[in-house]
Amino acid sequence: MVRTLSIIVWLLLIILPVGSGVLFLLVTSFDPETGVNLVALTELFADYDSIASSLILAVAAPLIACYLALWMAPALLKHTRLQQLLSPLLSIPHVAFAVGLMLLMSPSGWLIRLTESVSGIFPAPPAGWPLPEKSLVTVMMVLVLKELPFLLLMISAQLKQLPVNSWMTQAQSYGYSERQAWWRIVTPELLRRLTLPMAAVIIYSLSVVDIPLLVGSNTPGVLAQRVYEWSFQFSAGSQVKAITGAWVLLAMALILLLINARHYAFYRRFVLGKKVTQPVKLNTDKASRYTWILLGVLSLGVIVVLVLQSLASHWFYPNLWPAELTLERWQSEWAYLTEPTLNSLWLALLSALVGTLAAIVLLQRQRQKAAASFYWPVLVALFIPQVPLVLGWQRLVGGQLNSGWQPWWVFWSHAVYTLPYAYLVLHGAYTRFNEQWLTRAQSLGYSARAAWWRIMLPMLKQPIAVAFAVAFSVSIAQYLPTQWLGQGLTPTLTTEAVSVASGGDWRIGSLYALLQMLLPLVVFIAVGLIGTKSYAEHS
Amino acid sequence: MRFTAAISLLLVTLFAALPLKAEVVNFYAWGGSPEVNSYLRWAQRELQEQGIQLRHNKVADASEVVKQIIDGHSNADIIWINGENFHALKEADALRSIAGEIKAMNNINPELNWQTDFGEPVDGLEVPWGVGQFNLISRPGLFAQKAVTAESLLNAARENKGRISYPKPPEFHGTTLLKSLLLSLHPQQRSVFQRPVDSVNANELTEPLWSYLDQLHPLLWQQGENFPSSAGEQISYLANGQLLMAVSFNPNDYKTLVNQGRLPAGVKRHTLSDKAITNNHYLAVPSSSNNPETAKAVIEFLLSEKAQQRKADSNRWGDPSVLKSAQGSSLLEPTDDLHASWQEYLEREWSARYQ
Repeated sequence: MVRTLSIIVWLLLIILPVGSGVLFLLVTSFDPETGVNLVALTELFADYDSIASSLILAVAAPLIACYLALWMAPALLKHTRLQQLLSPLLSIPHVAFAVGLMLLMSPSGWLIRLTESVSGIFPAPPAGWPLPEKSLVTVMMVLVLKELPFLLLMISAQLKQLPVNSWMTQAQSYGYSERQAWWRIVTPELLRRLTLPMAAVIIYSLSVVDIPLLVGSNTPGVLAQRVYEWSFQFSAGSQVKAITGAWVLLAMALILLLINARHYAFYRRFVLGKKVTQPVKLNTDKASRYTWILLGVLSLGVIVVLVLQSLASHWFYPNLWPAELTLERWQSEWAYLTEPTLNSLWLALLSALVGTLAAIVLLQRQRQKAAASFYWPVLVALFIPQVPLVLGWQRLVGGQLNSGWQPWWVFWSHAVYTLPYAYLVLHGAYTRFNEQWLTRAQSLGYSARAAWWRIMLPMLKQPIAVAFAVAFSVSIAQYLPTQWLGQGLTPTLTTEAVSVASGGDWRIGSLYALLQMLLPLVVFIAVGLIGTKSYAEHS
Repeated sequence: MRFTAAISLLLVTLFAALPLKAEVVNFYAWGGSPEVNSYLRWAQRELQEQGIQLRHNKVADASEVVKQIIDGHSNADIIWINGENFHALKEADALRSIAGEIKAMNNINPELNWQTDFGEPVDGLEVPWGVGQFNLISRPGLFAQKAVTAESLLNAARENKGRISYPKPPEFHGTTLLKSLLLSLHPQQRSVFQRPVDSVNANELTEPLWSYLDQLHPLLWQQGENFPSSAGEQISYLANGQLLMAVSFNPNDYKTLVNQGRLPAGVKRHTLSDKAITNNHYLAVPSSSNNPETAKAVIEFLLSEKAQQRKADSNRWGDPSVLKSAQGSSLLEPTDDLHASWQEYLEREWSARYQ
């Protein structure tokens, strides 16, 4: 049963989409006119700025986010309610988050306006402000802040699986401080379980296009953004560059993933090999608490500023407050929102459900085969640049696209993306699930199947719910596959938001961003309400 | 009994609904302007009465659809394009020749130079929908003259360090700014730019432009190390005080954007060099359209007196009419765009130097 299902999942959601995408890449790569050639490759490497910024971004942002998350995570043990705080942060679409952040922190943002209104020292927005509208630093900050809640959520799901409290108590009885116990005992195990979520974060940082386009430097910008731009320029030269760039991105992703797989081993060698030192000032509960507060304030600020923008008649520098608030924009859009909202909803619900179930099937099959390592092909869809991938799918389904089947192909394309994320989220908890529980259940007379349904599934309720929520928000965020496979028949809140925002009018953009945020927010809050008791402590 | 009643009710509703089943036309158009979107919503309501259902499929950039059409997977019936996108579609032989079949073409303003699009012959593959005139929008007091020369732009940048910029080429507003600078730097020999790049000494002609930009860039926003990515983004920077000027292709934008609350009142409109580079934006029907006849009916409507007048209303979209009735109402002194081959040349040379 599991075997049959897993074969179906492999065929439909991995081999077919990835195969057709890679095939398309290969066909275009060896096309004599627009194919990859050495000249393009040397040109790309000669112009190494983009590659360098991509690397810096893909290495630094995930690492900063990872250690920041680990540093903040002990608070999750003490205050399980904190997880609720992550929900709004997780559900703000990342582009909207970037915009909200700029509205708060940019040189003409709210902070500077506040300073100006108090002191009058900035009659014009200051130059040389550390967080300008366009720089790698700004992109990095947005990525770290967006990846941080995701990693905290992953950590929180893993903590449910581990007897952390008894480990901590034991360690402290050996004379470690609480913080030392955390960094030396809990962290290595967490890092091992975070390998896959980190892989996702790394791939995302390497391949993200929309945030660099919005707040990144554009001379020249990161590689992913340039590949995207080249794809839409129609000269043969640009097409060659786009394909070549796509392969370079793939190679970079593979190298970074290999390094990431050794991350926890490096940590063991370098951190645990050291003697225990006195804790530094920063490494205290107090500092970590302030960071939580800061994160909360920031996400609240972003939401407030988006709400104000969507209601503002006009709002120019240096005013602290919009000239007047009006519901006009909401009222005029209201009549046109039903179709995109419903499309977003059914696509996300269905594809998240299918993605999560498919992930469970694959993981169960792995348990049967006793393979704890992860199936890397599951993730391949994430690191092929979207443009060639989706073009490949169009070639694949070609004629189907004009016969009313479009919505179902869109749903399929979303499932292709929800599966890897659901798999990532579940992998650690599922493959490291303690076999003892099942053995005990079976010794009490349950069949293997009953034990799975009655013991394992309830114990994994939390990570499964988180996987569903993450998959749901992944589906909500899809632009290109929805736009291209849906042929305009499945406008979603995201396709509307992206196209409306392309004109730079952030008042209407904010309105759509808020709507985009609403659906995942409901799902994340629901997940947060699911029992947060740790089963592992019972052992 | 109840079952039969339900079935017959269902059948009755189906039959009642059938005559209302409208012809669907998929119109792919950039969705980044709330004003354009609400104009198309009005058009939708008007066409509904003719039994045509116009779907505005919003895109972030027209080139997305163009790529789709060239790849052979698009259900677009009408697209809104010009310049490079038209060029690419023409080369791929992906457009229907429709200009001869549209009656409203008899009412087109004869002064309108619509037969070439960015120097590329239109050959009836698209019809003009509106007029673009390149202009600068500035905060009051930045420029003294209506017509801004390259020199006065440089002076303004000197006096307001870090407060001036332009969209980064190959974004077409940015490339058009380069073209306008060329015209301003060569007031005596403008006709030379109507010829293909490779038939003139382009390197010599553009030399003054590059040395001018070398002086200008360090004075720009973020020292010319970054540029706004689009004209829309630059408008936002003008609104929030980062910049003192923006660029636009709509000669009414200095009014319409104030009406919409996107720009503060009092902004001024200027031309860069003494004339505004003028071109058109067009509607085209891809050869792959499943519904070309209805698509043409939609185009007829969009070129009607009523629709064009509403479009030109500066309290709404403010995009100039292309009809005879609008003759002589040209808003800015027009000048032809450079020959199409200059586009790619300037983009390439600019990237090589400043990116």
